Amino acid sequence: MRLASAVFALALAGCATRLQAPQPQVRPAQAGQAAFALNGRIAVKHDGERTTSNMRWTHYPTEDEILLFAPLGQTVARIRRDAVGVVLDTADKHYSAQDTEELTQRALGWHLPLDGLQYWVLALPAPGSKASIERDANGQVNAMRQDGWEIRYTRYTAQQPDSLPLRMNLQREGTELQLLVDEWEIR
Amino acid sequence: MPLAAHAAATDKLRNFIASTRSGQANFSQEVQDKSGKRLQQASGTMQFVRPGKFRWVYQKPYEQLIVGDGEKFWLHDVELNQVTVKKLDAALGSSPAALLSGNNEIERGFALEDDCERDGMEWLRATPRALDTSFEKILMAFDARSELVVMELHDALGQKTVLHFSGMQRNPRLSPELFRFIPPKGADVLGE
Repeated sequence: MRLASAVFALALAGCATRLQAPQPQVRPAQAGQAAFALNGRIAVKHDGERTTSNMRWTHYPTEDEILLFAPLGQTVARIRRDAVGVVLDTADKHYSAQDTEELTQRALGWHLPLDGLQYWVLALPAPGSKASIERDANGQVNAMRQDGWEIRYTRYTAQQPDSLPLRMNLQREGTELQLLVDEWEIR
Repeated sequence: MPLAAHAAATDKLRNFIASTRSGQANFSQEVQDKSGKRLQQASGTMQFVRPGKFRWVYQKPYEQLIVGDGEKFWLHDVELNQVTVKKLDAALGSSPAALLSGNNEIERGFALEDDCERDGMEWLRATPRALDTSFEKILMAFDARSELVVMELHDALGQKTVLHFSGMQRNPRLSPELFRFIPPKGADVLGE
């Protein structure tokens, strides 16, 4: 019965849209080797300055690309990081640095903690420094403190310990980032 | 004053602007990379009244309301419970909302030229005259009935935003209330 209605729903969906492969909504087993992409929104409060952008973040173990979009679609900034360093481009400016936090501070006025965020966004601690982690009864991370940041997770794709976060809040010394994920792609 | 189906796209755009004081349509929006790969997708409805008033409602996958009230640009992100307000000119530049709802002097801001026919539609290319805009070029396509069906906005960083319009209605009667925005109680309001 359940299978039949699922097949029927798929058949219906097929009339209007092409079928999409089911999206795995759990985090990869080996975070250090993970490749993912996410679409979402980032809201930033920093020293009284506040901005909101739509974003797309494509992550590979040794490379990242983050695109920040204006409300009606156009790319406001593109951040690319690889083993050599990090560059940030806007429509008319080019910045480069060794370190993402320093670069985003200079170009955007707030710092994006990309080294840690590539793990925190998966609700995992970054390797190499101490983290304190609070979990709920299901084993899901509620909060984490690492590298001076306090990260609170308020929504997940589901209630499994390895479900992916959909909403998180990050705070450190006068900076607050809210990250909302609308779409996860795990490779 | 219907134009012949084979009229050039630039003529169709001039006619569209001259004969359309208000409009509404459904839209789907895709951001694509250089190779045409889809990066993001969203959809909703848009309405405008010339000059300078527009309302874009993003319904999926996130709820955002964008209102241009003639002076200010309001963005309400429902889930973040956040409102951003900016002066209309500064926020918009050569965005699709500005193009559709702008005054009739589109050619002051853009050089227009006819482009090749593609996918059974007539295309035009609009190139901003100012160098500091965030778009390199904007392509627009009109179907055989002279309706605007596609806008492709190529930004300076190599991404492209493709808007498909459906159910376009010209000159509907639209309530002025649609183009006013009052921040909801409790929302965080950012900007001037």
